[in-house]
Parts: sequence; structure tokens; C-alpha cells
Amino acid sequence: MVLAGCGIWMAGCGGGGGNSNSEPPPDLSGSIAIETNTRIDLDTADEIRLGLSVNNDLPENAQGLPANAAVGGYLSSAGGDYIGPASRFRFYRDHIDLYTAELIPGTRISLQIFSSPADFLATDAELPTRRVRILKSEAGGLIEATEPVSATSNLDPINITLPDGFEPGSYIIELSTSAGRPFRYVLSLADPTSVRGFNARYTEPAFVMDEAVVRMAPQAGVQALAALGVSSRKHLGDDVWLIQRGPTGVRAMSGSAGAGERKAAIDWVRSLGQQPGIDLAEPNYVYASMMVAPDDDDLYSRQWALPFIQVPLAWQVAETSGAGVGIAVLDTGLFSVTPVAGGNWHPDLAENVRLLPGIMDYVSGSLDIDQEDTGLRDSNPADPGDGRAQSSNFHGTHVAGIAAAADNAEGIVGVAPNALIYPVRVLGRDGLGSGADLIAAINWAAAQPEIDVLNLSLGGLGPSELLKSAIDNAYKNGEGQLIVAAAGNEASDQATYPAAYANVVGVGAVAGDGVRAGYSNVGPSVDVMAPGGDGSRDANQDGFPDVIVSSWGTDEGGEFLPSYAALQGTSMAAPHVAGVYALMKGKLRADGSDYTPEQFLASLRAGALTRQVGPAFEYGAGLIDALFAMDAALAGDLPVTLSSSPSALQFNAAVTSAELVLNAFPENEQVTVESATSSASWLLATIDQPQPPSSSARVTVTAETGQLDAQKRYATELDISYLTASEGVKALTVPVSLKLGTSPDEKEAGRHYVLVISAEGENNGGVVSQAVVTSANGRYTFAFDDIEPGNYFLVAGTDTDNNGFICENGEACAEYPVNGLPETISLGNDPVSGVVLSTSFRRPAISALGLPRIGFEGYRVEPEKTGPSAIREYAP
Amino acid sequence: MLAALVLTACTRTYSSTADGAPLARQITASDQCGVGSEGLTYLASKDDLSTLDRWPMQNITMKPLTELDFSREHILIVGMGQKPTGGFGLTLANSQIVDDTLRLTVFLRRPPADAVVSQALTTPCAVLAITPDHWQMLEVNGNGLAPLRLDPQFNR
Repeated sequence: MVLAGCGIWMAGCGGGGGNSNSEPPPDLSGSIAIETNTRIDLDTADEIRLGLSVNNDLPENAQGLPANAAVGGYLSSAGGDYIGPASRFRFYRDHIDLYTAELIPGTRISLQIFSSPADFLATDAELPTRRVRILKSEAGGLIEATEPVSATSNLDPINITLPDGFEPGSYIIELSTSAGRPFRYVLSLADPTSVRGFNARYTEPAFVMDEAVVRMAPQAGVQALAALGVSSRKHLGDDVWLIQRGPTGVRAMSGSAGAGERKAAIDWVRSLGQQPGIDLAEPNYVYASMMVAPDDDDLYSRQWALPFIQVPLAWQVAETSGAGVGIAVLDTGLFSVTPVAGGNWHPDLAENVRLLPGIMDYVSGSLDIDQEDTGLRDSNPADPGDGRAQSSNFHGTHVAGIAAAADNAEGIVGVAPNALIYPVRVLGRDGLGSGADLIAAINWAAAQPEIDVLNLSLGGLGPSELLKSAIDNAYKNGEGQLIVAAAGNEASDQATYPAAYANVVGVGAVAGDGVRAGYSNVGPSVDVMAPGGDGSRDANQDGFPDVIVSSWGTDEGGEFLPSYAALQGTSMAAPHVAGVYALMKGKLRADGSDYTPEQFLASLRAGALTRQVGPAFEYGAGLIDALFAMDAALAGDLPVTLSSSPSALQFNAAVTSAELVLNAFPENEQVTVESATSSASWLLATIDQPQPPSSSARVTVTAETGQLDAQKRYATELDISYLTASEGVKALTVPVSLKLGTSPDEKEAGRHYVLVISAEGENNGGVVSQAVVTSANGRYTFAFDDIEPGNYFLVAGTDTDNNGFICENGEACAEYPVNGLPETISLGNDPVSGVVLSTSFRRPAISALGLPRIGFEGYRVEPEKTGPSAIREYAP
Repeated sequence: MLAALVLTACTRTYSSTADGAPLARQITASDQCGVGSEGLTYLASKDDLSTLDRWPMQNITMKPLTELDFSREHILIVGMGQKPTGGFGLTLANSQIVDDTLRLTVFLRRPPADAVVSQALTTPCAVLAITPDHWQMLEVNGNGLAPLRLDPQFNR
């Protein structure tokens, strides 16, 4: 359907969309995916305005919610008009919303609310009074299952955790307001196995006002600080300094400052980062620990390699999970849905991908098959595929995922899920590269202070002096970058380069039992072993071949779609080691010190980072162990810890029993497992512990499903109590979930306004085109025509409270390419299709944003007084 | 009757089908077919495609296979076996029917010496659509490839 007069093609607006063969393709088109378990209140102000709202005010028409739902909504005790910048908009009365959900003990219910800016509302508009009730249907009507929770005079969230004695079943969650201004809300449910909370607002972390932590460029010298006009400075080690501006003395925390002052402070930090001599500038954050929650990444159960080298335990110690550590993946590039334009990275990696100015695609000549140019190096490291009518090989995407795939409730999780990925393309046609291109790429990477590790899952070169020189330059006598390389797959003792160079960590591959994979090289190329897989074996007896599952892509028919694949090779082993180094370095940096490649190699050669699994000729220093590595980095200062493998249990109709293997760390620590119990009557546990007490034990866990409802989801915890000789009684909790049946995920995020915003010229920041789309099958599709060549931002979101702004906190939002980090799309004369965005009520964590997004108030929808009904109409 | 028929002594040679279509054409290929040894796999019907589900680590674009008209063409997968790195692959170069034998020639790619190559194991293959008619035996040859033959007793 083409909308006359506004130049917008829309799909999913009731009239269909798309173009026939006789019509030219639209200038810009794509789709918006909806995050799993997302729902929308059926009577938002936007729906009421259009007369399309559906009543959810009564128990009989309460909206159903799935487990772990996130629903965006709107409530107001009265109707009225907005004022000021939103004076043409109206809010409506909707004082109650009802939802139904299956609730169990331990479920966390959170209501986060958000108000329009103060100048949108009358000065006497009070903060809203609101209440959350959990209701159960009884013969006589509804009764309160828990004490109601109310709040007023603030915008704080209401959080409820259902107690142990709570009876599992179907309940109504009632949200209501009785006085005060209109507000948006996000209601989220999290069952006990979901560790992570739901962040619906842009994080504004606490930091010290007018202070910044900066890293100086290598040759800048301390005199560069003087040019910044700072009032005081403090050396934090290496090239890192803490600086202050303004009067010296004790500084306030950001929480006591106004939004304008906080934004000004962040702008100052941002400007510091752009000064000559400054590599990196960050606020002086007040740190809290971060925790990886891998169990909601749906392929995590296939990632046998992570528990095998004790990565989950290392996450407990390395709270930052590699945050801020840069891993350059010199490989085939990175999967992109739009490889010609770049961006739109694989959704399991996008959060962590960073680009730097300059050349990041070093493939040149006949090996270069990308379409940005003809045989030239360029700035776009996207993987163009193989350039043949075949299933392309996205090797670099697989490698990057192993090292640093994000912990984002989908797919896999990397060894260092908060580390940064810097993709550098050095392999082109047929997965081949030239020595010259590789050397140029390493020389470039060596000069980038953001990069801490180079992962080279490649080989085949002879002993090139130029390559060795480039690597030595990056290594910088142990003070620069760690270089990790694959040891090769020829089952040979011949030296393979670059793995065999002295300043390179050559990594061989083991299968699921720690035995060297038959293909993995031995001898001078091997410094250490890591999981690389062996598809011919199921050595760990988990029912699957011992292969490495990671991110991948398909390019069927020219359409690039993200996916996952299982591979094997020393290519897969190397990024495990790169990720472990990122965990170590990230932890030490967070603690105010650092960790260098020289320290890593020294510890490795001393056997402090590895388990001994075989002779040095075959296995080098042994099998990398993430927890041992953290212990070495922290100089042995680790508490006694009992780990469980697997770290969580998921039962279903086919799997109702499992065995937990419990291991103590440090390994010489003896523990006695005293009990393994659960509050759920359907869960049974039996302890099998050798006598006398040792460093390991086994617990068999069985779910008795005979009396359980096939349509319900159950969750509980197995509480394991153990006695240590040095630290007394300690506890380990293993989350357990069970669902016998399945139900479709009918995800829905509400009507979306898609905006194309100019990023240049006189109309910079202005909306040049907009469309209104509704979802079908969990996605929105959009298409725009008659857009002039230029640079644009592409954003979409809901206007739940009908104040004329989308993407405000509490509203669903999608920004290209990544939420929170919008980048421009460059449109030329050729159409751009297949642009993919992701919408959610969730906001990215600060680690993904780089600097906090302070003062962001959403995007203003362009007024349209006339036109089809799908375009916004305004209150008179 | 085939369109291109060359009579040389008693040898019959065909290079296309009766309606001028090629005897064989490559419909896709992959570095990760999941077959660890050299060999041929013949798929005569859509139901046979389920065979591929049992190949570990199989990453073949399925669309060209599922869209094939099996009444006119069948599928032959020519597997190169497990290779230690990237850079390997094969492409159909020629097809002929000589007497009762469909003779296919493939070109094998290998990474040049001293090239930089990815270090994941690969299992390259070419997926061919071939005519099911006018041949009883099938043979695949290539540069450096030992001849691959379907069993002469193969019952199509």
C-alpha cells in the first residue's frame, strides 16, 4: 500500500505492504523484531485516542501474561490535556489494568513507572498514587493473596517477591491509580530461576561529579593533562589518571545533582575523550558488581566448554565479566544483516561490537569480495559471505561469539560477555587471506589503545620476519597486547605460524574429556589447550558430539540472517583463552590495577592458569582453567567455593532426572555436603558423597511429575548446604525449572511509530518521514520511499501515554543498529533493504552504552494534521 | 531422446537432456556439510532430504534442495571429506553421459601454500541437481580426487 501525499509505504497497517514486480523497491525497508515475552497493555492512551482500546479492567477480561513477561502500559486517574511542548496532545482516564499469570513462590513482580517531563503537565499535577494487588479467584469472588502494596509522592518502583509459602497457581495482578498525574509503566515478572532483573530505564549510574578517569595516549606524557585545565590529578598506574575540574576538594555524588548538572558533567567527560593525548575518558563511577545470568541464553546448555574450564565460577570472581577489555578478532569479519552498509551485527554480539576510526577491513586485491569497493581496504569489517551460490562460512562470527557473545537472554554467552569485540577483516574469498593484509591489520591494531587482545584463529604462514615484527610490536615487551593464535589442525608437530612465535599464545584443542582432539597440532605451536571440540566423539556423554556452538549466519538467496552453528578446530580453542584473559584484565582494572600480557605468559609458563592433562609436548602448559586464572590474577585470594555442574536444571516431559557434580575450589579443600533440599514437594534429591569427605560429591535430582499440571511452569531452588574445614557451613543454590507442555509466545509491543530522522544539513534532527506499523507474527515491517540520499537515524517506538514522544523510558524502543547507541544509515541512490531492528521495553546496561545516556527524553513524532488515519491525529 | 548425441564408433555421448537442460547443475555448496569422508550421497525424493538431518554439524542452505522438482531432477552431494582448515571447496565443471554412465567432473579448490587460512575444520561439499534419466552408473572425477562411483547395483 502506498500512502499518497506522505511518501510512505507501510506494511502491517491493515492494508498490507510490499511492492509488485512493476514497482521500484522502496528506498529504505526492513523489519523490527520484538523481544521474547514482551506484551502491551490493551488500553494505552494511544489506543484510547484511536478508539481501538480493549477493556482489561475486569477479571473476566484480564490480559494473560507468560512467565518472565514484560508488559508496557499506561494508567491515569483522570483525563486532560498536556501542556507546553505536548500541548496538542491529550491524556485519558484509565485507572485500572488487570493481568493474569501463573505465579509461584519466589516470583519477583516489579512495577516501574515513568512520568512525562514536568513541563508537559500542570504545575499542580501530583505524583501518582498507585497500588499493586495479587488476587485469587475464590467461590465468593476475588480475595487478596498477598498484602497490597501502594506508593505515592514518588516515582519509585514497587517490587514484590512472593514468599515461600505462596500457593502456586493462576492469579490476577491488579494495577491501579487513584490520584495524580498520568504515567507509563513496565510490569515485569521474573521467576526464581531468572537471576537478572528487568531494566526499563536508561541507567544513570552513580559517579563522582566533576571527576574523570582518563587513559593517556602512549606518547602523550603527563604534560597533556596540563592542557586540559584540570584542577588536580592523581596517578592510578600505567597511563591512567584520575582528574578533577573546578575547585579542589571533596566532590558530590551524581545522585545529589540535578539532571542538567549531571548531563554537563558527562558532556565534559565526553569532551575529554576527544582531546589530543587522551585515549579514553570515563566518569569516576561508583562500582557495583555485575553478574552473568547465562541460563536464559537458550543455547547455554549446549556450551559444555564453559563449565568444563570453570568459566561460570570465574564469573563470580570477575564481576565485570571483562567489561571494557577490547578483543580484536582478526578473521573473516563479522556477520551483519546488511553487510554492505555494515552495522546490524549478529544480535548475540551487537551489544559488544565496537568500531574504531580508520581501516578495519584489510582484505585487498582479488581476495576482497565485498561490495563496498573493488579490491580495496575499507572501514567496514562486515563479513560479505563467500560470494558464491552456497552457504557461506561466517568463521569470524563464530570465533567472536566464543570470546564475548553478550549475556542477553538469547543464543549463547561468551567467556567474557561484557568484553568489547573489535572485528578486523583479514580473511576474504574462500576464507583466505594474505600475509601482507594480516601484517597491516596487526600493525593497525597495535596502535589502538582500546584493543587489549588480538585473537588470530588463523594460520598457514611461513615464519615471516615481518609478521613476527608486527606481533612483537603489538606485544610491546609484554606491556601491550596479548596475542592468541590457533595452533593448527594438521595433527602435526611442525611449527605453525603465527602460533609458534615466542610472543604468541598458541592454543591447541581438546574434546569434552580434556583429551587432545585428534586433529590438534602438537609441539612448538602449542602453549596451552582449550576446548576446540571433536565432532567424532561425545566424550563428556552429554548426548551431543563435543562440538563448539556459537554465533553464525546464513545468506540464503542473498538475505543475511543470524543463526548459530557447531564447529570444531583450534580456531574455536583460541577465543576461549582470549576470553579468559579479558576476565582477568577486566577484574584487575576494576580493582584499580592492571594485568599485562607479560604477567599472563609468566603465569601460564609456571602452570598457574591450567589443569595438568597430559605431556607438555602435546598439551603445552595444560588445559586453561578460568578459575585458576582468576586465582593467579588475584594472587591466590579466593574464597572456598563449591560449584555445581550444571549450574541450573531445566526439566521437561522428556527429562525428569539429572545428576549434579559438585566440586570444591581450591581443589585441595575438603567439603562435606550436609543436605540438598527444596521447598517443592515434586523435587527429590539424593546425595552421593565418598567417605572420608573429599573435594567432590554428586547429587541426583528427580522431578516427580505425576501430580503436576502439564500447562504450568514450575520453578524452585535446590538448596545445598556444605561444611568446609576453614569457613564453616556454606550454601549453594541451584535453580530448577520445569515445564511439561509448551505455549506459543504471542509477543506484542504495541503500535510503533517508525521515524527517519535527518542527521545532517539544515534539517538535522528533523523527522523526514514516519510510518505507523502494527505487528504480525512477532515482527513489524516498514518501508519508506522518496527519501533523498543522505545520512539518517532510524528509530521506532510506542507512544504509550500519547504525549507525542516515542522511546521515552517505559515505552518500547528500537534504534538502529542497537538500542541506546543509534548510528546513522547512509542512503545513496540504491535502495537499502533488510534493515533489522529490535524493540523492547528493556534498556541497555551502561556497559553497552559506553557513557550514560543522561537527559534523553525520547523522539518527537512529526505532526501530521491530515492524511490517512494511520498517521497521527492530534487533539484540537 | 537426448538433444545432443555424438556417435563415435559404438560410444554414445550426451551433454544435455532432450529439452536442452544440463545433465547436472550445481545448486549450492557449503564448507560445513558435516560429512567427514569423501563420497557421494544420492537423494531421489523430497523424503530423502531428512537424511541430511542426521549429519552432525551440517550447514547447507536447504532452500534450493526443498524447492527442487524431483520428478525432473535428483540431488547428488559430492563430499570432499574433512579438511583441516578453510580454503577448500569444489565446483561442478562438466557433465556428460557416456554410454550408460553419467560422468561428472568437479574442480577442487585448495588453499595456496603460505596463504592465511581459518583454523576450523571444514567438510566441503557441492550439491548438484542431476538428471535421473539415461544413465545406470555415475562417476565423479576431479583434480586430485580419487574417482567416486555410485554402486553399479544402485537401484534408482
